[in-house]
Amino acid sequence: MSATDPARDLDADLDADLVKKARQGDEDALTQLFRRHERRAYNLALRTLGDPWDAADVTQEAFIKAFKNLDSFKGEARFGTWLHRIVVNAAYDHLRRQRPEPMDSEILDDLSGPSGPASVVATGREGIDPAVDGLSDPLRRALMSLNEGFRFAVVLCDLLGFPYNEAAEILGVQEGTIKSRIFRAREALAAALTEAGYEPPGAPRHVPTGLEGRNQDRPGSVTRQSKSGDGA
Amino acid sequence: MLRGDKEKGRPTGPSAGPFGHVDDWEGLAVDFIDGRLDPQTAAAVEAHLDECPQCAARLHTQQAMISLLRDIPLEVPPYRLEDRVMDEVLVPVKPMRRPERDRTEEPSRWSLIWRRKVRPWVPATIGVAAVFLAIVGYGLLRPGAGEDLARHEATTTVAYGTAQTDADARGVQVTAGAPAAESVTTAAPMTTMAAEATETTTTAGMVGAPPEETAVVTMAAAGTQDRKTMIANLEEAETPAYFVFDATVSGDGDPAKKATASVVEQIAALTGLAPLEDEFALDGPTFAAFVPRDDAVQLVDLLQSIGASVQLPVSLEMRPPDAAAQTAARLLARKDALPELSARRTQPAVAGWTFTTSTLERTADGAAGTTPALLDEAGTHVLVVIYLRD
Repeated sequence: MSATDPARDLDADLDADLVKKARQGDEDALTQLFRRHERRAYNLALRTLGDPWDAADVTQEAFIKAFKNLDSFKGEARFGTWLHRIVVNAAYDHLRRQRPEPMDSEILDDLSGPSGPASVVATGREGIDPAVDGLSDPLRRALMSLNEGFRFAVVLCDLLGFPYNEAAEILGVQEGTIKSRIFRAREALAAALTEAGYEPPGAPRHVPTGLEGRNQDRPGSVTRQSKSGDGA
Repeated sequence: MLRGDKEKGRPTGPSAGPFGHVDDWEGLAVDFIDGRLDPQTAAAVEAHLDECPQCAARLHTQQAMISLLRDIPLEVPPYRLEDRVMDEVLVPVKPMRRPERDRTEEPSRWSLIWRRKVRPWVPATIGVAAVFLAIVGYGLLRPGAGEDLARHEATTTVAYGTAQTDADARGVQVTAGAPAAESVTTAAPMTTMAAEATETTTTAGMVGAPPEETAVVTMAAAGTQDRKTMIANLEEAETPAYFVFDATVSGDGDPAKKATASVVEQIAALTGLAPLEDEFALDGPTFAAFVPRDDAVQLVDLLQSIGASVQLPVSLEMRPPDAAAQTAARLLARKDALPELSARRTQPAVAGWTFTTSTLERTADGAAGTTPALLDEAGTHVLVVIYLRD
């Protein structure tokens, strides 16, 4: 929609070119496509499922599906959008499949989220070495405590940096819905962190106009701190 | 980060003027934070925030969370993801079994298999400074070739251009100057590939231990097994693992012998292992080594690709064949003499792997009893035995 970011467009063009080649049987092009999107796709799965093994399974499944159905990619959307939509669907499917499993009550209590089961720490399934997960525990739990629709939105936009319009396309909702979801998701995350005794480091009491420079005053990691100011 | 152009239609909320609290204009708040509102609307929002500490605090929270979330680094995906995806996509599910259909016209599936599965395994054979590997498949795709014919004629020949043993003779025996291709009378080669010469990567500290004793990888062939299952079983193996190449499916006689010989050659060339002495042979030629659990995928893929090349099924069993239980026991009793067989990604990190065989550290005189904790007992490795059933 709006935001036409030249870099993203360039990226999309490159993808389109690779897709074309891959369809003609160019293995290197296919590999390139994989490598260009692997990281974000994996992190999307990781942050929405909460478990590295599940994330690897889901990412693998999604890529295989996408690559085997490359012909059905019509080029109306960006390749990245199309691909991540497949990842999202695979992740949702995974959550569906998983939900009925009886859970260890202790873990359930621990997670207390609707999608708790996704976070169960698994042991070496199918030999995937999970990436070392740099996400702090409270933050992961806070993320996993969100309802799925909110979690997917906030992961796509705030963690992975997808523009709202693309995230909306990926999730199949309106852009306004995305904005509303990420707004609430951020509040819910802040609340969950506060409840766990963590609080995002303070920022100015008043939101400065525009906030263009907001990345300049990075709060760093979540740190335990006494309640200060008017945080949520 | 700036999101570029201004949003045209404002998502929610009134365009200006007094609003209710931020719950009524979440979308607008999001755009405000991103700096994407037109000046009037932004001014209206600011005016509200000046008067409403609650809303100001909530926007502040938004900002803090955004910073926090954007600071989260992306994790690196597991390195096997690429292999798993690309193997699945580039190599049709059942590489093996039945080439009865005439596929001559198709871009050869076999060539795909060769490229993906075999070629990356350019061996880093111990003691071989440069290895030139040529694998030639004959008759596999010949039009009109019946199943039997195809199977029987399938031949893979591995030849070494240069084979040069290191001074300290730790090496695996390699036939120097073997003919580049064993000639098969029928049909033209469908696939030919030559891997580049590879520098040997050898680890030092390997003294003594003649090759016969150092190589212990057992591969066996039986019914076709699912790749994932094999990998999982190997990774989680709590006992030695036995790979079987089942040459009995080729019947007796020449074709079977050729297939067997080819498997042995390929294993030797691609892993650097040498067949064990006859007294340790579980049935046909037998290899054994300690394989890191982390390399289960690579080993399974290698063995399956070798099996595929000669139309022999490969299977993984967690126990030795009954008939060879005693032999297996003898072999296990000597396991401290077995080498480690590990795969490593070629550099630069393209989708390639080499296998490296290295004997385990032992005292200079090779005395028994001083072996450090055996790898399989340490849990990091699986003792793998590879053998042929013929």
